[in-house]
Amino acid sequence: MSDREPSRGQKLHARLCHFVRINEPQPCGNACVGSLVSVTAFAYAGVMYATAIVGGKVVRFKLSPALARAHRQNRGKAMTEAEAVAFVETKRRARALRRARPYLASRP
Amino acid sequence: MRVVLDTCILKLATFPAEHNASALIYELARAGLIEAWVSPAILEEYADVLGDHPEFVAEIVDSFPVCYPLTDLSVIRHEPDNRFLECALAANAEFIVTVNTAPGHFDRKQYQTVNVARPSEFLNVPEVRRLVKKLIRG
Repeated sequence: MSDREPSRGQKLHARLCHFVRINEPQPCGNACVGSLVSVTAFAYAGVMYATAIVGGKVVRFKLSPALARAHRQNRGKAMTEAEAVAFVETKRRARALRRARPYLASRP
Repeated sequence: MRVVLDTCILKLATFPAEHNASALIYELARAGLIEAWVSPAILEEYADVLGDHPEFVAEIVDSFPVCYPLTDLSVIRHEPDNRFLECALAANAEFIVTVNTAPGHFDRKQYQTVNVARPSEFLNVPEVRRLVKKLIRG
């Protein structure tokens, strides 16, 4: 084994260091053991589940990474169907206004 | 099975609810068990409404097939809703899934060959129930 080649333990630790919050790359001689672990990284690595009712039964399903992230972003928030419709309509109106702006600006 | 998802469905899917039928429908589409078709106009609206979740929009762009409707319809009184109907007819979709069944919106049960279903109704279609079982089994 050459001097530069990292040992198996070092390689394993380097892999674990992916989750360790460090600002600069550091030589990994097990020095970062005990440093702060990024909770965010672990949270994103975790799998998230949701439930729905299908045929009167509650089914549990896995969320995709992007949807899981959206759920984390919206944690503690709720939206009813009516609110969702209103939200979409507001966005549509804003977009229509944006598109009409050049025309409206050119009017006397 | 081909469907078109109203923007409200995807918006509702992003909220952690106790029972989230919209999220399950999205997961069915992402897994390729149902085909959720979009048109450029629909994609634009998705990107606008789901702007807070760019990764989610990227995932939608990656997993939803795109069609290019050649006809402009004016069947539904609320004009923007016609984009979804145009897409559904162009893609030969069986369902438009929406929560917006108020008068002037998707207030009919059927537009030619396209059925309108709320998320819970859609999940109770026997074929969809089979697909849900398949999704859960992995």
